Amino acid sequence: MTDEQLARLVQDGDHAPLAELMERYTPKLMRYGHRFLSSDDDIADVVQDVFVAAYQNIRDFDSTRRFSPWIYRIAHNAFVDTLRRQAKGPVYGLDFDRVVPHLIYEDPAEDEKEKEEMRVLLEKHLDELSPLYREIVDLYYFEDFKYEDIADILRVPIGTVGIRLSRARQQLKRAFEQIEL
Amino acid sequence: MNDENIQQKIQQKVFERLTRGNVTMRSRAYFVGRAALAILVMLVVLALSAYVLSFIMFSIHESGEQFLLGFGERGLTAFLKLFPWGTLIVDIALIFFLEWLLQSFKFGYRFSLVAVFWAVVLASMIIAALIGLTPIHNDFLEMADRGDLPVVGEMYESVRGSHEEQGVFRGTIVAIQGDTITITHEDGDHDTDDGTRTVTLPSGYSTTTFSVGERVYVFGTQGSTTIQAYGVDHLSPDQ
Repeated sequence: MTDEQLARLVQDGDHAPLAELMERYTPKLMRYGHRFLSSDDDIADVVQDVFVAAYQNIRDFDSTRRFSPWIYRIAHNAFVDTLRRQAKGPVYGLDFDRVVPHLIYEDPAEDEKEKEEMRVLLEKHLDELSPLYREIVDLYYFEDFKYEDIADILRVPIGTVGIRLSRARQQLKRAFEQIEL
Repeated sequence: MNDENIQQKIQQKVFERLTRGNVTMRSRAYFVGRAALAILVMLVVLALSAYVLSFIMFSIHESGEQFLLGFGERGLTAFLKLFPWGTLIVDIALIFFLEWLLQSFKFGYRFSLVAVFWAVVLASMIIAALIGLTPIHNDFLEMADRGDLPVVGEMYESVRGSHEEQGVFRGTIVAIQGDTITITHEDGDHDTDDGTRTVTLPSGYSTTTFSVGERVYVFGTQGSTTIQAYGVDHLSPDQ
């Protein structure tokens, strides 16, 4: 059964498929949570809240669309809120990438081999990226979302997703070159 | 704790919270209602923003301040000083609020903030222009004159306020002599400075273009009972 079919059953009042959805998404959301928080316990608490919020709001989910961007949107909000509470202030500063329009960057024709190479590089150097780029890189390379999905999760224009990924690659390249030197 | 334990613990806690009954699934009607309410609030804010914008345009036209733009550098300076900046700031605040509301919708966040801002401004301007075609502001002005307009009455009354300190005068021509015209002094306070002012027209102006009984807008420097004008223009009967 697909995630969307399971979500539809939960919408109709059946609790059991929620367990299956939780099984599928707990490891993913735990991994995603590591981009925001360091403690496993804190991440587990947030993930728990994410599932509860997903259950409460499941009837807001349009089952003709993909389930994963929808739950990641809830998770993004939950992790950012937690981070904001811990930091006692805004997580990201003023987001200039959102202010001005950028050309619509389409998903580049990056083949799986290229993506895999990038993933290996990112595993070692992801922390060297600024926090603004870390999440978007994670969603693209590790969670395998398309630009459009990432735009929906982060609620930013697609052009902003493209420009940030492009800048993240440049930043990573510079960091890698410095290490090489 | 390994991954499987974490997974089981999360699942267990989630179901505990669900079965305890303090977490309920929201109905479809809740989401439909919430979206409808958000759309309604956005429409109200857009209408309010358009109304404020149309009031700014109305007040500039009604007070005759648009004439200042044709009276050279001094006129432009006076125009900027008399411009209803406070009202404009309120309108910009409404536009930003509307932009913030739009961010919860796909058609809002999929575009850059600048693009959404200008789209909202354009929509507000179009609606403001449509409001300008209706007699609403004139009706409100009349109501304000009669003291029948609560809340925004003062705002409408200020449209025809006196701005002598900026060199702006409005009045009706009572006499034309040589290169001067004599106008009534309308500052609305009915005090000792009421009466008439003799206006010396600036070079390039001819008294033949004016007639007794006509209402005029004068911009110039005031003496005791005289005005050395930098610019004079005709007010329409409704101004």
